[in-house]
Amino acid sequence: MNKIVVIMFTIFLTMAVASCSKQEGNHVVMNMGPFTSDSVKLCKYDTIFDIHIGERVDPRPLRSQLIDLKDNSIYYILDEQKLYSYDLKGDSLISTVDLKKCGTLNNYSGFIIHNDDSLFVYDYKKKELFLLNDNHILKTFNLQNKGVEVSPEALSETPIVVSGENVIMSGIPISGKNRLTVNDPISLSLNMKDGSVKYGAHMSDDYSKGYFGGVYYNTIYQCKDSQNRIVYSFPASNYIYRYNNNLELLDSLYMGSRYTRKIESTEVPTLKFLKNEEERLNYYAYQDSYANVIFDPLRDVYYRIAQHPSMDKDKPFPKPFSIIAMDKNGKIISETSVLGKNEKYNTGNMHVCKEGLLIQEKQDDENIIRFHLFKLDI
Amino acid sequence: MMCWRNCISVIAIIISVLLISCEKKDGQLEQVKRLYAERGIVFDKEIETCLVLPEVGCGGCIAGGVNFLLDNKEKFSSKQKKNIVMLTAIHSKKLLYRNLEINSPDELNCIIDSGNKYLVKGHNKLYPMVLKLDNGNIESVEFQSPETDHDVFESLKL
Repeated sequence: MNKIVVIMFTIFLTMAVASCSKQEGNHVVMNMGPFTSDSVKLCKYDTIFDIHIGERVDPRPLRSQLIDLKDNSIYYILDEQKLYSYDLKGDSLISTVDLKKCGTLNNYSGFIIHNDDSLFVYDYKKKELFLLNDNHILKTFNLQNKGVEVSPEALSETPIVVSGENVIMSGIPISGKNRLTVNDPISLSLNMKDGSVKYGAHMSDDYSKGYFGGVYYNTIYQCKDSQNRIVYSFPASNYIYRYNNNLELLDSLYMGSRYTRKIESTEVPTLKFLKNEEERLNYYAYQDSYANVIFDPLRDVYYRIAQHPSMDKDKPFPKPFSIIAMDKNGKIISETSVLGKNEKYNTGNMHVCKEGLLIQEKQDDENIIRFHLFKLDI
Repeated sequence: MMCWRNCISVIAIIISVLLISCEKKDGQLEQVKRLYAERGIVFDKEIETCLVLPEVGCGGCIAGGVNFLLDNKEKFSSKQKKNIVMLTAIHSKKLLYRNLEINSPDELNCIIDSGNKYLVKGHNKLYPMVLKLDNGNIESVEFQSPETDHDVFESLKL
């Protein structure tokens, strides 16, 4: 009987200590600028592109890609194990390719069109990357990490990047740690020729000083620029970070928002925070954050989404946002706010094309994906 | 003597834990009853089970609710009245119908709650909710959340 009492007491004591444990301290990411003063405006043009996607396809696709060709642009969507391709300007379905052979393709699965006749498809559940040519699987790469906690994703905001002979994929750290340092890699670089995998890149230094909990503040946004650099945007950092395809840090560039004064880490204990979904949502909804980064190769410009605190207590999403544009030398040339009508736009479906920057605009008719064109007024 | 005192302490702790969890459930029941009364929600006397399923919320919990509905589609069909589903917190009707494998809401005994009338307030709005009713009165309320210690849907007897 005494043994049972001791065991019960130990369990209760452990629970009490765990629930009382606090973070090591709160970290505030201050935004000291330099802020854009003489701003070039990013104008919304009257040009819209409507794509009739039919009654089955998701109107807010998590995985899509736009490719410019000589005479037209093709918009690809991965949905329900099928790859749909549409003529953007002609508003017509070009083809539907069945990708069941690559797996379930749900959650964080995705694809990237590699060149004219080949593409990569990633099955998040099995962590398998397929190289397909003419709809046949040429190669399969197993990305199950062996003791390294990188869980790659392939959504539109964290797309698969092909740089030279390497495929770079990134994913939200899954270690559950409340501090992330240079020893916590977030990406893998797969050499397509020999199949070797290297792990590297890391969250910004801010994440080693404070706990920015939840999915939203740990989403990794990435793109490739014209120098084949992998460019990262982290939700809690005013900077973007450029790496080479060996995942070695090259530099960081300030790309902060003039509307963002500070971003604070959370002081809520990790376990409690992870269990409370509403707490996580509110933490994200009511303060600033950063999101997508995308590169425009025709104009040599980076675009970055800066999100601002929601002003609606009942319907906090989507958050108001602004679009920052920066030239290739690191000079911020524009910041345009999209306040008040932010609920219309889906920055998760944003692409560059010959005409400029396309952002999806929500429609009542869910069988249409509409893109609105934004262009820098230079 | 020492041994008896220790036993009593342990029993007291266990009883306290049980009482707290019961109180929580009763509190939820009263809260939902009050909220629905404020919103003028009245249930048909024939309804025995009402599933309030948000489209947006805790993904895993909602997926459980959707799977339950898919596995018991006949029991929620429009041809019967005992079981009803309120589809609330709707982000996309298109995807909702797709996930439920229906072409139209007419296939189910359901209400498309575009005004979120059936959506509870606070933390629990993210989770599916099961109401058991008797003669139009709510007799019990259960949420399927990550903290729920059992599968609410599995234990349902339709």
